[in-house]
Amino acid sequence: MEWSVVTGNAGLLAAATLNTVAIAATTIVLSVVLAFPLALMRDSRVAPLRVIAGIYSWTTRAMPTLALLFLAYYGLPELGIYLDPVPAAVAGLTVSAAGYNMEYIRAALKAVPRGQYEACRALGIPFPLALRRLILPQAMRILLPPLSSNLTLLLKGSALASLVAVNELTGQAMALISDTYRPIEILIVVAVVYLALNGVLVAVQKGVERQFRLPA
Amino acid sequence: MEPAEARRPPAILEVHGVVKRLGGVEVLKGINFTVAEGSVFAIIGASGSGKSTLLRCLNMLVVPDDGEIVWKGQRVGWTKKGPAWVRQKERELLAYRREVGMVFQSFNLFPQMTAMENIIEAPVQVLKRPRDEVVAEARVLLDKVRLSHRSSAYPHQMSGGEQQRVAIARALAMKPKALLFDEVTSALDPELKGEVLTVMRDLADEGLTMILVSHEMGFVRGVADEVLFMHKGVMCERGRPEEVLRAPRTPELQTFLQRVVD
Amino acid sequence: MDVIVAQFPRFLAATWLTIWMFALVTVLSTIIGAALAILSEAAGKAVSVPLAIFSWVFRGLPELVVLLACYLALPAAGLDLGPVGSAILGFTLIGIAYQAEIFRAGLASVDPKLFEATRALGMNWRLTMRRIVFPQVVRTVLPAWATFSAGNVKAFAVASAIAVTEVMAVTRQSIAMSNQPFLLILVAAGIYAAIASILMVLEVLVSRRFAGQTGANS
Ligand SMILES: Nc1ncnc2c1ncn2[C@@H]1O[C@H](COP(=O)(O)OP(=O)(O)OP(=O)(O)O)[C@@H](O)[C@H]1O
Ligand SMILES: [Mg+2]
Repeated sequence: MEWSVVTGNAGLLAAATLNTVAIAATTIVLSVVLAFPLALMRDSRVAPLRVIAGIYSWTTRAMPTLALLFLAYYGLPELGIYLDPVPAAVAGLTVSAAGYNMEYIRAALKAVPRGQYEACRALGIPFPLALRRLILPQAMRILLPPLSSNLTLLLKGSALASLVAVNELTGQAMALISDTYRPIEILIVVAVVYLALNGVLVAVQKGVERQFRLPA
Repeated sequence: MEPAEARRPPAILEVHGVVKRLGGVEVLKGINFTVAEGSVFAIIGASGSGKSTLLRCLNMLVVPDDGEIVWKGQRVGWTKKGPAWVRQKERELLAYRREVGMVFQSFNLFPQMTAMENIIEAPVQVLKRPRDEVVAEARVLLDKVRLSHRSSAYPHQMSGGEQQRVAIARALAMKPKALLFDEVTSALDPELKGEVLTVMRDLADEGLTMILVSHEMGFVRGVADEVLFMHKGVMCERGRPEEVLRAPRTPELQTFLQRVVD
Repeated sequence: MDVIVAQFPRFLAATWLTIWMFALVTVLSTIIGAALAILSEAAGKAVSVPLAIFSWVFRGLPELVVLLACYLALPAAGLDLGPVGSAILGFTLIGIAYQAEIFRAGLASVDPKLFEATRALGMNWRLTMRRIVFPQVVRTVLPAWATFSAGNVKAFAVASAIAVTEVMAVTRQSIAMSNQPFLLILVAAGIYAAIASILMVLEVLVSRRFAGQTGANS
């Protein structure tokens, strides 16, 4: 083993790790924000909204995430939309993750007992307010486990950004491997970093879950 | 026709020919009655006779297919625009629901909130009233339902009877002009029914307009001003409880009363 | 359109490659994953702890990193499997990690009381396994298995990054030739989506069927 390829390039790897974290974090936030209206549309009383959300859900779950990234990076310029690598990667990852997120959000909203929705209506509470203050906190407990496991997938998915020329952790690793030809050392370090980031994500998830737990 | 009608105070709620179809079946087949302000109106009937559906029509949780409901002289759920009547949106119905509250068989308290938080939620968030003022009122309400000591308990920490009394206090916190009760003691163990019925009796004594569905015949006899017996979506008998319950005219009510007494 | 016509044979070959790699990986990882789950149930901590670590690692790493390790690091260690072999090895390792978890959960869902009950009824071990345990495990495993498989096909697009000429790789080559990226990527996405859709329909059918059996409703 020749660990100097890692220690010598520690700065590059650290910067690339920050890129990975930034891409994953942005995508996590955006994909959840995008998924909420889609989840509501999916069960809307307005049929066209339902259909649009249904098509969105199915296609984004059926298409490879990589295809969505390529579409954003290589495809959009054909339509006159030019995105830099990082925004293109974030767009592709977000659109892909939102398709799963919306299904989890929808299932969680449905799992809140009907009586809770009726109690809100009977008290004259407007739906947006009821959703935010009363329904969502209950849905959260059901939503968090599948949502956070999807967000873990997102962290892994951010590696795909390397294939649209983003210099995140995996991309940097590939560059260093072709420079130094020491794949074993570099990939071991990269793997450890990914697993550590995963650990952080799980810890955050546990903390948030505790927030929504009922007192004994 | 009925001389008693003339002596009654003016109706606060009128129900005219209400029809409701659910899943292709006519669950309500033209219901008519009026409720006087400050009175207690009880609806009885066998399971599946349409009592809940009727009660839910009254506050528009369910929209009737035909007929009309008139609250304080105004048609509920419809606005007159020129010559035409236009259905109101859910948003527009909310103001009406704040005047006509509802208590459910299954309590439906918000599980993530304490008794106090459940009660103050709608007045603070919807009516935008000052929190201190609402909390002070909520204390009075908790006292009224005999739960002053439980204000910081969560629903899952309370008995069914306590939860139901919190639910009543929560509905009262909106200062409704009338309250609808749908079998509010049916989910409770026998020894817990009494505490809820006592609270309801107090409310009746204070002059709150109440419309209730109940299988507690003793309570109906003692508290209701008027009873409506429903059978398969049809109004079968209606009148003062001492008359209707003591001397049922229809075989349906006779059978029903025999079964409830057992 | 001309590109697609011109490239049609290559797209066809790529689709076929994707399908058989996926099928092989699914069969291998299901068999090995199930075997390891049963083994860890039977042999205790000596197997279950390493298996849990293995599973955690390969579920936590990006597919691309695993593939790069198989494609670049293994040859450096003296084992060169080539692009397709590396992809099959990488996806099988990842698949085993997921399948072992799925089957472990399935085995754990069998109520120990069932064994007592069957013993009380005088059923022998093999009969108990065949009539009681196996149906129960299948019931809990199949929906999760279908969900994983339906989602997993799409991951094979990543193999294009290690020079496997699957659909996405042919797409990239075609883009370089024609300058019609949008259409070509949609075609590639469509091919994957069609394969995934078949599996997603299967997933819906399976989970509906088993939701009905356990009495849970959605
Ligand atoms: N959503 C629905 N779709 C179809 N039928 C329904 C629906 N909701 C209620 N019903 C039917 O309407 C009839 C009246 O129901 P309702 O709940 O009003 O009866 P109820 O008198 O309150 O009975 P209970 O004493 O059991 O509460 C029943 O036969 C019921 O099966
Ligand atoms: Mg009812």
